[in-house]
Amino acid sequence: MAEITFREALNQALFEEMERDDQVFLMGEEVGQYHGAYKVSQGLMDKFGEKRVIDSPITENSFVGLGIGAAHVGMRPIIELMTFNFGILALDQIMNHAAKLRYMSGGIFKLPIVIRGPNGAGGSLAAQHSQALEQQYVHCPGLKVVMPSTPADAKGLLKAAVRDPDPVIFMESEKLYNFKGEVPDDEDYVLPIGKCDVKVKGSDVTVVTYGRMLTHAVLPAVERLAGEDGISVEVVDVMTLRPLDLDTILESIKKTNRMVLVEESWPQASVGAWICEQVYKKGFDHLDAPIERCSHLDVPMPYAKNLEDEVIPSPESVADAIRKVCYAE
Amino acid sequence: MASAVKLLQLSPTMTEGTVVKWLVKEGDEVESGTPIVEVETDKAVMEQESFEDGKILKIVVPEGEKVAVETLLAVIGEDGEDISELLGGAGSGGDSAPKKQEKKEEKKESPSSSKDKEAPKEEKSTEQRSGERIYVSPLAKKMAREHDLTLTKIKGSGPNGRIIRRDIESAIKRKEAGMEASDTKPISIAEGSAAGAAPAPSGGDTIRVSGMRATIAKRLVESKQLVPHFQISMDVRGEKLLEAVKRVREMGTETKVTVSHFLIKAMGSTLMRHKALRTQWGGDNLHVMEGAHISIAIAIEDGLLTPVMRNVQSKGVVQIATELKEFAAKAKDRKLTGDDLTGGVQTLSNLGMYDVDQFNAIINPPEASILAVGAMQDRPVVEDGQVVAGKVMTLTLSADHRVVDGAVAAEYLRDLRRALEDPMLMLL
Amino acid sequence: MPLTKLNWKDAMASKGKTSKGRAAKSATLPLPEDKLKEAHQKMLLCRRFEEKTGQQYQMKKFSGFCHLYIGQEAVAVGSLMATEYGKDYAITTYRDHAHALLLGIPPEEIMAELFMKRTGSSKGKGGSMHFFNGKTRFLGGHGIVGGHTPIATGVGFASKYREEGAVVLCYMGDAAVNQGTFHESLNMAGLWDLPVIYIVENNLYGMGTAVTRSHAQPELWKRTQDAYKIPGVQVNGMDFLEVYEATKEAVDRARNESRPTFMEMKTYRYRGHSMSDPATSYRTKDEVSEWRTKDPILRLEEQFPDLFPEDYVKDLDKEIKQKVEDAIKFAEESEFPDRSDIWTHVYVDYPGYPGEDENPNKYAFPYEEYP
Repeated sequence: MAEITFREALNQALFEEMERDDQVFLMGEEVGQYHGAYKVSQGLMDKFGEKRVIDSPITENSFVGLGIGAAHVGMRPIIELMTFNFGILALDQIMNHAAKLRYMSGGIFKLPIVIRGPNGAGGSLAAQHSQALEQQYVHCPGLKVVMPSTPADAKGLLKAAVRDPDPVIFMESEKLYNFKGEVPDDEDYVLPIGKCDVKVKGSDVTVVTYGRMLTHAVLPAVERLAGEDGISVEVVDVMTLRPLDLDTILESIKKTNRMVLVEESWPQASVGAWICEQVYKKGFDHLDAPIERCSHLDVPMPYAKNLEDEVIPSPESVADAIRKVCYAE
Repeated sequence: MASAVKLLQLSPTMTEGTVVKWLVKEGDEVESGTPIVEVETDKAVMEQESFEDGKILKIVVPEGEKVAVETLLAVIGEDGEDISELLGGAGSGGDSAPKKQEKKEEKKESPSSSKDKEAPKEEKSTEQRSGERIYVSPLAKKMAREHDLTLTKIKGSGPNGRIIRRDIESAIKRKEAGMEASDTKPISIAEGSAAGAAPAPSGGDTIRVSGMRATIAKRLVESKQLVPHFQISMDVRGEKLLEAVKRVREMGTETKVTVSHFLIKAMGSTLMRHKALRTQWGGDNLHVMEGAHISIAIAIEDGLLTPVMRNVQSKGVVQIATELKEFAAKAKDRKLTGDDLTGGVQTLSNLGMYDVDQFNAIINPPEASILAVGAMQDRPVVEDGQVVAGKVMTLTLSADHRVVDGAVAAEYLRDLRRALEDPMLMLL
Repeated sequence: MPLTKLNWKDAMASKGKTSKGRAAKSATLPLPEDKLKEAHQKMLLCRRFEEKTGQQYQMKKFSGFCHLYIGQEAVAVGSLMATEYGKDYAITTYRDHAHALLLGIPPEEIMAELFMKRTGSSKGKGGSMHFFNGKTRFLGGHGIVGGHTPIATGVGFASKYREEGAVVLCYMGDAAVNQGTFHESLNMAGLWDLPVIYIVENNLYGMGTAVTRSHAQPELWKRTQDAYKIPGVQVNGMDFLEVYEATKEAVDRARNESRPTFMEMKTYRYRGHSMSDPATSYRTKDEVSEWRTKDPILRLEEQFPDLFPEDYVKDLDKEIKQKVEDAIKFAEESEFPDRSDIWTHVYVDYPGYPGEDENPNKYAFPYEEYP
C-alpha cells in the first residue's frame, strides 16, 4: 500500500493494463506528447510508443467511433475524452453504436471499450465545461457506467473496466485528480463493477452518493453531524451507476429508515432520481421519512466562484438535508 | 388456381386507396411483377404490380372508387376457372369496402359503450370511501400493521402530523402495558415506564394472556398509576397469639384454626374502630363502608383471587376459618361470583407461610388499604433492657393517601398490633 | 416501374441501345468465365430477393423501414468480389440486404429476420437495417447516416495495428458525405494511413433530395484528395467490371501500401428511398426508364452474350426464384422470438441480464484470434 493521488492511481491502472494486454491502446486528445490534458497518461507514450498511445485530432465523435470499430473486431481500446462535456459530441457513437451493436446483431458482437475522462465541475470553468453528465449514459441500456471516488477505487475499477467485455463509461473528476489515498500495489488489484461500497457505517440515516461528492460534500457533513447533532450517518458510495447495486442501498435503508441522495448533476431525470424511485418502490415499507436530495441547482453553471459554491451540493447543504430527514431541524 | 388481387399497403401509413387507373383489362395475360393498377395512396399515385402469372379474369373495383387496404381488386387465374367463391367471399363486388368500414365503426363503438356502463360503478365505490386522511410514513404503516395498531388512535409527531417510527414505538409500549391505544394523547416517557412495559423479549415461549391475568394486570397498573400509595410497617410480638391459636386448636374445632384466622378477626374488630380505614375514594365524594368487609388474597394456579368476607366484626375465628375454607375451595374451582369478589374495605395478603419477612402490597381498588403480613419468626427482641428471643411478625399497611393519612394509618396499625399481642382485646 | 419479366423481355429486345459497355468474346475475357458467371448469378439473386422482399412488405408480412437495393447490384457484387472473402471487412448502411446475401448470410435467415423471426440472422432483433455476419467479417447494417464511417476507420486501425493485411470496405450513400463523421473519419484515415476503402453508392438522391441540391461540390470524388490526401475515383456503378477493377486497385493500395481510397460509384435505385417513398415527387418516370436501360444485369449479359444465352438465364432465374420462395417459406414457418429473448444480448456480463448466448458459434466473431 502506498499513498498516491487519484491521478497516479489511474496512471498506474493504465500502465499495468497496457503492459498486460497488447490489444489495449489509449487514444484521445493530448494523451501522448502532452502527457494528457490532466496528466493522467503521464509517461505512457514514452513507455508504449506512438503505436499504442495515440494523439487524436479534435474530433470526438469519430475517434470514439474509431475506438468502437476497433472494439467491434476484438481490441480493447481506452478512449480518453478531455472532459465529458465534449462527450456530448460523441453521443451518437456511444448511444447509437457502442450500446446497440450487440443487441441488434442478436449477440454476434461484443464491445469491450472504455471511454473515460473527467466529469462534473472543475472550478470557475463556467457553463460549457462544468457539467455532470453521467445520466446521459446511465439512461442507455448496453452501457456500463463507473464513477469512483477514491484513488484505490479508481485504480481497481479502471482495471476492471479495461477487462470488462461490455462498453464502460468511466467518469473521473478534475477536482479529484490531486486527492490522495492508500492504493494497493498489486497488479491484480481489480474491484468488481456493479458493487456499492459502504464507506461509513452508521445507524440513523443513509447517504447515497458517488464520485467527488463523497469527499467534497458528504464526508465533511457526516463528521460535523456526528459531533454537533449526534446523528449517526451511514454512507453508501454507489461507485457503479449502471449496473446499480440496489441491494446494498436497500440493506442500509432497512437499517436506518432514512435516505439522503447527494449527486453533482442537475436534479431532473438524474441518476439520483432513478435511485430514489427504486428505493421508494422496493424499500417503501422501510422509509420513515421522504428521501431528501442534494443536487446541482437547476441552472447552468455560473462562472463567479461565490455563485458556483451555491450551485453545487456543499457540506452545509448535505448536513441540512440529513437533519431534515432525521426530523432534527 | 385462381387467386385474389387485393389492395396492397403501398406505404406503411396507407389504410385505403383509390383505384385511379387499371393498366390491364379483363382477359389480359400478366406475369408476376407486371404493373396492373394505379392506386392513389395517402402519399402519391403508385403502381401495384401482380404477384401472380395468369389472366385477369375479373376486375372487381372500378376506377375512381376508394377502398380499404386488402379489399379484393381483381381475380387472376386460368380461363374457365370457377371464381365465384373468391368473389362471394368478398361480398357482391365493389360493395365490400364500405361494408368493411361500417364494421370497423361498430367495433369502435362497442368498447366505449361498455365503458359508459362501467363508469357509474366506479363512482359508487369512490363515494363509499370516506374518512380523514392520515399522514403516516411507510415504515410506521408497516409497523402498525405488524403490531395490530389502529392508526386513527395514534397521533403523529412528524411534519404535517405524520405518524413516524417513534410514534408507533410508543404506541407499542402502551399496548404492551395493557393500555391499548385507547387514549389518543401521546403518552409521556415517564408514564410509559411507570406502566411497567418491557421491550418484547426475544426467545422463550409466548403465552397468551388469560382473562384473569389481563384483569389483574389492568387493575394493578391502574392502582399503581392512579392511587397514591404509602406504606407503614410494625413488628408484632406473637407469643400470646400463638398461645391462643394453640388453645383453640386443643378445643378440637371442626376446621383447623391458624394465625391467619386470628388476623382476620383482629382486623375485623379494629376496622370497626377506625372509620377512615373503611372509607373509599370516589372522586368528589368519600364513601364510608358500614361493616368490616375484608378481602382475602387466595393464590390459585395462574393468578390470585380476593373473595370478600363480610361483617367480620361479628364473626368468631372458627366461623372465619370455615368460611375461608369454603372460599378457597370455590376459588380453586373458579366458582366465586361477582358478589363474592366485590365490596371489601381492606385486603389481607399473607405470605407468612412462604417465610417472607416483609413486603409491600398493591392496593386493590376501590379499597383504600391493604395489609401485607410476613412470617412469624424467632427474632431477638429487647425486653426490659435485655435482648431475648421472641416470636415476631411484620405487618405492612399500604394505604391510599387520598383517603388515609399517615397518622390515621399508624393509629389503626397500632390498635391492630395491640389486639394481636393481646387476643383478649379482640373481644372488644 | 419495377424490372419484371415483362420489362426484362422489353429490355432484352432493346439491347442495342444499352451496349455502351464492352462486347467481348470469350477468348479475351477480362475475368475467368466462372467469375463472370458468379457475378451474374449474385446480381440476379440480389435482384430477385429484393423484388420478393418488396412484395412481402406490401403483403404486410413485415413492417418497419425497408430499403431496397434494386438497380445498385453491380456496386456490392463488383466491389466485394474484389476482396478476400472472410478476411477483408465490410460495413454498410441500412440498405444492406444485398451485402448480407453476398457476405454469406443464407437467404432464409435474411428473410426470417425481415419477418421478425427467431431464426433470423439477428434473431429478430435487428430487422431490415441490421444484418451482420461475424464469420465473414460483415460488420453491419447501420442506421445512422455517416454513423458507421468512424467505426470502419477503427476497424482499419485495428487491422493495421495487428498487421492483419485485411482491408475494410465502407459503403455509404451520397448523403453521408455531408456528415461530419465522414470528414472526421477520412481525416484520420488519411493522417494515419489506414487500409479503408470508402465507397459512396451515389444513387443521385439522399432520400428525396438530389445530390445537386445538397452538395456544394456534386462531383463527390473530388472532395477528398486535397482535403485528406485520399485519392478519389469515380466509377460507373452500373457496370460490374468497372466496379470490380476499380475496387481491385483500391484493395491493392490498401493491402500493400496501407492507404485509403475514396470511390464514388454512380448508380441508381429503381425504387423509392424506402417502402414508404413512391419516388414520384423528386424524379421523373423518364429518368427512371433511362436508368433502367443501363441495368447492370442486362449490361453484363450483353457484354458476354456467349456466357449468358437466354436458356441459361431462364433456368438460372427459375432456380434463384425457387431459392427465394424457399426463403419465404422458411421465414413464414419460423417462430417469433420468445419473450425471454428481450433480455438477451444487451450485455455479455450484467446482473439480471442473460449473459453469453447459448449458440454463439454460428456467426460468432473469431475473438479467439485476438486474445
